Amino acid sequence: MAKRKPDLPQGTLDMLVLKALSLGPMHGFGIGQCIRQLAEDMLTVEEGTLYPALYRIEERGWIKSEWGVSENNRRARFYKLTRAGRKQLHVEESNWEYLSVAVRKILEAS
Amino acid sequence: MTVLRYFFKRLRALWRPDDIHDEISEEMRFHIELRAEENVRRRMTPEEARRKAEQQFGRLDHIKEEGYDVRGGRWLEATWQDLRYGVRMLLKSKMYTLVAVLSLALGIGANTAIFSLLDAVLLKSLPVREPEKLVFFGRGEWATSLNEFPNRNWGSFSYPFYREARRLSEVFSDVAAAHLRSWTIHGALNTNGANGEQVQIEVQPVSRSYFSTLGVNASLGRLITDDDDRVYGAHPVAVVSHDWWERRLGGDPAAIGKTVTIDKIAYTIIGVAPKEFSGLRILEKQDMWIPLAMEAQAPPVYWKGTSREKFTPNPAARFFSDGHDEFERPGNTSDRLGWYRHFDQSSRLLFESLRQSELQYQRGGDQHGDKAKRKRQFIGTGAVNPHADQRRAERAAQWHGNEKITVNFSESAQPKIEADEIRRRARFRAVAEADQRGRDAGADAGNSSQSEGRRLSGV
Repeated sequence: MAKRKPDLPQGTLDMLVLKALSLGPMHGFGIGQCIRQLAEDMLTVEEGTLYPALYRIEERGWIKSEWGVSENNRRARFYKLTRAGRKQLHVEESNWEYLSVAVRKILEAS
Repeated sequence: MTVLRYFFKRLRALWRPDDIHDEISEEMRFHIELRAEENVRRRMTPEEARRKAEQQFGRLDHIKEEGYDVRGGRWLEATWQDLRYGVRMLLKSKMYTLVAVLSLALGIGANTAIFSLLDAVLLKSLPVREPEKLVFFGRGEWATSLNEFPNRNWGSFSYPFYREARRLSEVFSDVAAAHLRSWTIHGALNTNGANGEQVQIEVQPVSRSYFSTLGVNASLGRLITDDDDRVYGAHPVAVVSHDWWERRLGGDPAAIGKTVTIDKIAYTIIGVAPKEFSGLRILEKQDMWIPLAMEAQAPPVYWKGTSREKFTPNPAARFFSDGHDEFERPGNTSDRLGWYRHFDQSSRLLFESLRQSELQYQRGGDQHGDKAKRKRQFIGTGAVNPHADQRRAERAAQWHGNEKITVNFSESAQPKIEADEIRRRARFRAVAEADQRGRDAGADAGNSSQSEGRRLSGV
């Protein structure tokens, strides 16, 4: 747990958040968990970055939030992907695809 | 949509900045609790779990601030700071501020004033029934001149003119007359039989047909009708304006039946005009209307129609009677405003008829000195007769020797025959005269003049 993992490249977190939310609405904690699980513990999202990112993304209209009741019956703020967010996710996914291919090509050059 | 949502969020931040902070705190708390539970599951003690969770969370305040910024709080604070900065700067250079504020104030004030005026003059219409069918005659600059009626601004008409116009019911559904100038006079409002305080009153004598022609109904009591304007000097009744009723009579319904004494004559208040009606012209403000039959009784002029420029009493009254249905009145009682309801193109007939009557009247006036030149103060208005049709208009035009005449009534109810038409007719007259002269001189000369006349009149 205390093991230091590499930081995410700038802007990647947004995409991961959108991806996590594309699986369904969830609260902040859930998003963090989800990302960690999907990455099979290879990635941990710091809360200190997650929440500001959530607010920022919401401000852009890609997700929206509302108060709901969590699985353990507590008031929690749930985030939901908007239509614009879904579109943005597609854009970012293809961008990432493109970029990662390009980066790998460079790194594999010999 | 996005813009709207953005705006509402900002607005919320503006009104309830604490809400945002609270929401973020709650969210953080929820997160920390979940994290702590997770830590407990990892076999930490509850205290340790919580401490650890908070630690993991990083700097809480930092997150809160950032969230607050993003959610619109910063905008508020920045605006507040800008505002304070602005005020500070303005206070620093007082002269500049003064000039800026003054010019803004003047600019706004001037625009407001201009708009108010335009609104009244151009946009609003008189609060009467079918204002578009109501026409006025004249404004006084061309008083008594009949030569170019109705092209010029006719400001005043004689009483017989009004009477004559009223008889021509085929053109106008009705005609009303009122004194052009209303008088600011003093009258006493009577309370309990005793004379009360003297107050200033704008009084305008109006014909019996005034309110019915305009289509104005009483808001209280009744208005002046035919029976209030039959016998000269015998109808001391008054209709007061809504404004005056509220101002002077306290809006009391019991005001009907009270009297207002103007120069020894007690006028009984019979009714209150509607709130929106305060006179014939926009911006005009009458307090009281009395029957035209009372014109000679009311100061300051004791109207005998005998002065040229200003009204002076003239006790040497003559009776003017030509057997028409209206009451007899003394002397040369000119100077009314007349309105003519119902106007159409065939009104050329009417004009001719009115012209003849007015000219006749003037000739009669000549026997008594300069009365014919007297300034008439008389506004006319009328409305187009719905039954008057194009065919009759054309027949009327034919009757006048094929001179096709267009009479336009603009919104300001100024009758106008197009300037071209005036010029054309003047030319036609000149040619006709030349023609006549030519005929007198001989057949050959006459022929050439005639052909010239045809050519010119065809222009």
